[in-house]
Amino acid sequence: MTNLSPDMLPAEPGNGLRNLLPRWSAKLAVGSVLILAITLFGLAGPLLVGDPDRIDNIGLTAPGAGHLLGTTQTGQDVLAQIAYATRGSLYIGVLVGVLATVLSVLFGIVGAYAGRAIDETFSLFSNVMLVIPGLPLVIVISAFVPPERRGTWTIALVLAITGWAGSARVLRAQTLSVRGREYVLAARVAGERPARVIGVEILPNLLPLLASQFVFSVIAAILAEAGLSFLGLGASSSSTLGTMLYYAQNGFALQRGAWWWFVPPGLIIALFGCGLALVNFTIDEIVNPTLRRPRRPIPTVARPSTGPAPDTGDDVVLSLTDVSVTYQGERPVQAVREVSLALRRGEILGLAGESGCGKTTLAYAITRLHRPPAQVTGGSITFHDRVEGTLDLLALAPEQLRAVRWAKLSMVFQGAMNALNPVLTIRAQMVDVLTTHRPAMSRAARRARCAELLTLVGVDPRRLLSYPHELSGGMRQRVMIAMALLLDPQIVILDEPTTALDVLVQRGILQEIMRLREQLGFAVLFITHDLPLLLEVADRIAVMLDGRIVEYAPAEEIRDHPRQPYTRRLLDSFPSLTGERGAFVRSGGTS
Amino acid sequence: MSRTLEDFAMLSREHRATTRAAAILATAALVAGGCKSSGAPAQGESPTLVAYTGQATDYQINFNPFAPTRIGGTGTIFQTLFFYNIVRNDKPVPRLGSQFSWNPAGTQLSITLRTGVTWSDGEKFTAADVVFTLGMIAKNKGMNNGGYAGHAAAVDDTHVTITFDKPSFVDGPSVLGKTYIVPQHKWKDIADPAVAVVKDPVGTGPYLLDEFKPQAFTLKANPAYWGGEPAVKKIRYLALSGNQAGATALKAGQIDWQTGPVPDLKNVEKSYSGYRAVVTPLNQIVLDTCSNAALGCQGPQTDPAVRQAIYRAVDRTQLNALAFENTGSGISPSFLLPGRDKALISAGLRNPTAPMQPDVAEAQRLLESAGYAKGSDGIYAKDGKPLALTVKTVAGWTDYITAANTIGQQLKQAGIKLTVQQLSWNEFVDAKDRGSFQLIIDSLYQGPAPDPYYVYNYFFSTAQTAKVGAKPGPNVSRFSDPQIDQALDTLKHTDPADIAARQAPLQTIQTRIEQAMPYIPVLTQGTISVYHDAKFTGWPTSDDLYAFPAIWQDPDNAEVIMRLKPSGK
Amino acid sequence: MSYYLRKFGFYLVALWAAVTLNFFIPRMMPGDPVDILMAKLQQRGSGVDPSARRAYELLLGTHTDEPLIKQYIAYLGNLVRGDFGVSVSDFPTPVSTVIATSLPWTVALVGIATVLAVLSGIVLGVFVGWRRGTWLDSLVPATTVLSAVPYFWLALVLVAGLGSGLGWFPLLGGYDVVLNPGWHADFLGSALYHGFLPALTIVISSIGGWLLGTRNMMVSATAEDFVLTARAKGLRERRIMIWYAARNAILPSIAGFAISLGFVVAGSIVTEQVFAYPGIGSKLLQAVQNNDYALMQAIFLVITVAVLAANLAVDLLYGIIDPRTRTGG
Repeated sequence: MTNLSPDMLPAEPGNGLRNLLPRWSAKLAVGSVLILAITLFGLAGPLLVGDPDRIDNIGLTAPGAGHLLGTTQTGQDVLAQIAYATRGSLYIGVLVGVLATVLSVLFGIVGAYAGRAIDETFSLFSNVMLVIPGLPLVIVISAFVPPERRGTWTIALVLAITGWAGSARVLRAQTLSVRGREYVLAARVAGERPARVIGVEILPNLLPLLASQFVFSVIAAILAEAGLSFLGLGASSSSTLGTMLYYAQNGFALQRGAWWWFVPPGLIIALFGCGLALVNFTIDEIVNPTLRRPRRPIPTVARPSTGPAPDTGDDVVLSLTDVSVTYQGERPVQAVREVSLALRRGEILGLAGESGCGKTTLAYAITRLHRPPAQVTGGSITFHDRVEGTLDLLALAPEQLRAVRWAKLSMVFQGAMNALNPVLTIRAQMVDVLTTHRPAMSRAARRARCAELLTLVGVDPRRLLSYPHELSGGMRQRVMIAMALLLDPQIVILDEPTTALDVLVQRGILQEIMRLREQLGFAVLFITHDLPLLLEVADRIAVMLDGRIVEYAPAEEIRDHPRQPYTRRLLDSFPSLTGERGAFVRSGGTS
Repeated sequence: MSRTLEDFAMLSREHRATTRAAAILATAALVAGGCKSSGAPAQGESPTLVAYTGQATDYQINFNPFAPTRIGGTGTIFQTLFFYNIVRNDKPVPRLGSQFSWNPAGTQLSITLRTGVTWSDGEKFTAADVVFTLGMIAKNKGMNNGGYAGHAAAVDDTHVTITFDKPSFVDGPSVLGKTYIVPQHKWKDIADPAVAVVKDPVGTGPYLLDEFKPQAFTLKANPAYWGGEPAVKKIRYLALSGNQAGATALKAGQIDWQTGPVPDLKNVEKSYSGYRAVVTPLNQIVLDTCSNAALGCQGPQTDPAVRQAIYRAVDRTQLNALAFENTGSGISPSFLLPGRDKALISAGLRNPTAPMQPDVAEAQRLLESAGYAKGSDGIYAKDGKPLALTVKTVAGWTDYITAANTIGQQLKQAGIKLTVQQLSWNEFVDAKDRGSFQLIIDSLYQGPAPDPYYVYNYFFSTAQTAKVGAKPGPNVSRFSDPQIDQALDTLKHTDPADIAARQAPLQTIQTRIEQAMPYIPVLTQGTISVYHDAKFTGWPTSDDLYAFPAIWQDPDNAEVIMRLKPSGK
Repeated sequence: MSYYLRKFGFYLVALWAAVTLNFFIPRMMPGDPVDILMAKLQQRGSGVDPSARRAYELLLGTHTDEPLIKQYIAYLGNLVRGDFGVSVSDFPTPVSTVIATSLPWTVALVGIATVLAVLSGIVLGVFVGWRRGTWLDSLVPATTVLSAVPYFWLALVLVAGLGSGLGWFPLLGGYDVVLNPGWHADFLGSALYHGFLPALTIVISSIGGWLLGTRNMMVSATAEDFVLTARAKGLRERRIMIWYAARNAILPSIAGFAISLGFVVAGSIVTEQVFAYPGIGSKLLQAVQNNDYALMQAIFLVITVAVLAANLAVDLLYGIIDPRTRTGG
């Protein structure tokens, strides 16, 4: 199953703009309203309010008629001052944001695109600038500039110079990732000029990230400038929210309890930052769709199960009766339609079908590992335990289900690339199964068991202390198998256990599985698209198409007398070593 | 790794949980413990007087009364011969000296010293100490701020005679009232007494150094003081971070005496219960102008008409209300104090006191007759150059910053553009020294005695100025007027007791400076002192200003402390 | 191993860059800081001590024809010896002493506050990211608002509310000046009591970033295959949340520590000013206000070195907790 990490954008060549538009949500609404309101206030406010500098004999007064936000110590209207100050702060914020973004594009994107020495140098430079503390540097530089020369542009330049490094680093990482994509390589091979490649292929994919970084720069700039002004080091001629707070402190606003003077400026900065942050959230959700909030929680089981299937007595360990699984949403998709299967003790049942037919969904649903929006909408899944009798898996309470998982029924997942926890040792990941399910075991016994199982699958027990990334693909898969057998389960579900491996390793793993099955006596549900493989290993085979079981028979029968045309096509589709190619057309439908 | 990550993490997880719990409990306990009010003395112990002088950086120990980096002890540890009260026309109060007299020519000053005085290390105080101190000052230019040029000699253990080459009546108060006497036996071996760091001061005063920390130092009462051990047993001086911190500490009841702007002054007794405030008009707020083009000044302010226009355009009533909480009072263009010096104000002045209401029409008339014309933006201009001036202030001087901004707005009404520049203290001093300013908001301070001669000498005499680029004395305006110099010379040679002889030169000075106005009078500043009346009694009040009640004024602060008594509540 | 060497090397380069930046900034600016400082010293009563002048010249630039490279080498020599000259604003204390007395306060305040913010932010972020769709989700926008609040304004509001309003905490200073500094309960208790509000300001302002970052990473981690495996293994929720999801989620947050520390240092400078806290931030401001260039330069260097050291420590820590970085990298 794919996982969209924040490092990977769903990038398409030059045309991903539709993907980049935000989905509407409360956060976006509130954020946009805040930003718009404050920006409007800053732009239009000064035109509507009075003169912020006009002094008045009334001195410091609380909010009331005539002065909605009260007056300062010298009788100046606070509302008027805030309007002008907001404009000043916004101006500097956006100015610095633009300058900083230009610098970060230069050092991040262009540097990463140019590659090699330039990239190394730019990257080192960015990291160094990032790590040197910003505000102290700004203070030192500002202090050396004489007050007459401390204008808005000087301050903006200083803030930009100290603020671009973070964005540059993020943009560089993203550019490096995009740069290796096929369409970019294609463009370069076709001889497009670098400027055009950057402008047309790379930048549009980085737009959400760029927008997010710009937003971040603006907030940071407004905050930094406010801090500078508050300390008296800001631009001498400008009037910003920070300067207002400086004069408020100068006029003992805090000691006089003149909250209307010192609370609003900070509040505006906070609300503006909050608005930008909320919009940033939404941009984050575009970049990383897993962050999107689920509309309403969807329970994994839709209606009470139709009850456990009775124990038919012929040694069935798992029975699925009319199981249906639907992906809920605007247009629900039924992934599994009324599937009925019976897995006997010790048998290997193969489940075959092409990608997307629902076999993995079904496998996950058996122990309720599926996640919303997938939902079991019908049927029953019954586990016939050797010891405890009949267990209705769909009706089990969460704690009971947890106890059943792995102890009675374990899984080996498709593509063990990511199935192992990268930060724990192999031993730790195996031992935690034992500490959870067999708390009475001693430490020595646990370690012995892990070593025993690794040896069983053909992995050197010294590998217990290794981390997953230190093992080869084949070894990882064997470890997964060993892990699956730790608790002596009655059923092991194998989901495409060898697809990601090369042919020879495939053979080895399969032989191991067969041998272990002989030795330990567990039943296997073997899910794969490789029907010919199943013919060799499985006892019985079920063929799945579009969520339904279309053929369900012992392996010999399927091999010799496949009844469904689809089955036949599936059989023929695989290339043989002798060179005959099957003509498999992925239609999944009527022939 | 021999241990697994899991083992390590399991261990540290438990460890972390317990340490976190422990930390929370510990913090709670400490917070609860720290909640006790600190500094409250045990029953029966005398309360400590906590004072804040405005110190905004950490203290660096130095009790050398002559060093520019001294932090205290002047008046409390070291004493002068006499005490001159500058806010009233009092006679000088005997301290280490018991009486003095001048010869008629003003060239010899005879002083009788107090007997029975000992230094805090037990040695006797004699005339030799006085002679030594004066000699040391005469030899070291760095110590000689008062311009002392006499020769002191001990007649016997209790009599000293000082001879001068020229009549020196006006130098008397500085020698008698502002010179701190130090012990010869401790100072004779100090290499550079002008700047030496003195960590364990030995003096004759009512207090001794108790302990020193950079954030605060404490003085304790001297049981062997010749005037009797003072009633206030301990004084602590705090270092905070500025006016705001001072106001906050005051509100929390952590300071007993503070001099400086305090928010909401008129409600002091309500908002700070147990406290009172006394406002003393003394220093005169002015706009220093670099006024003399002949000495290198540049800018519109070199034109007397511009200065007069500014003088007319300032709304003093509004300024007093908005920037100074109405603690200011009227100021005279003669720079005589309207209270103390009322009798001396000349009838020939156009305005005995500066008008509290603005006269914008008059200001504009003055500008127009000087060749300025009003531009379309409302600002006057001449020869294409707008009438724009800058005024410099010191960052952290909250009231002056507000005042400068307010004046700027007021001048805008009259058509003059004023920009306020905030500088660090160093840049401020530098600007004054180099003459690189147009206007500065500043104040004129008084001399060592309640005599207007000093203000005139400091700020208006040619001897105290220098051209732009060279370092001047207090006369930073570069003002120079030979007639005033001559009048000052006459005053210098006249016995201050001879009021009749002084009248004519004083008149000349007053009328000429009102015309020239190198310093534009703004308001007389009311120095605000807030004190903890409920804890200590004996403070100076407006009815009884026996000393200038500012914590930073030496030796007046010692005078106040010596008179305080714990109220016993 | 090469990971650690590379990190060390990087920080050496960064240190060199900061030192060189410090060398060039005053030389690029207009004005003559050395003369100003010497004049200050004379005002304070110190003579024209040639070694004092030399120290200043190396720090701030001389107008003689001395070759820049020679100045640079001598400057580096002085730095290594810790000779920054004499502080003008705290005359006659040498700059190194001023820094030595104020640095511990800031390190304690910022260090403790950052650790608290990081721990709370990460723990909360883990919980919020794990359980989506509950009331905990509202913590995210709430703390993000707090992150956008300027430090000093928050400090002012806290002073007004908790300090003068309710009177629960002292508003000023690092400790009660009645006490003597030292390692005893009175002083330590007073120091903790006085440090509470400033630390609270820093924690409240910075917790949002950690929470958000961790929460986002938790959401991603929760969608990973190994979390599914953990579920399938029948492990308890708590164990999966901590050892599978959180353990992987916090890695990127820790990698982003540098940026957040920069903000905290910035915020602490202003916070110290509001609370009159005797740390190095208020000394920097004092130096700026008094044109004490030597002190200013030295403080900048010290802050930079401290930040670099903290970042190096975190990077080394990262090397320990993410095994993937240690092999080849």
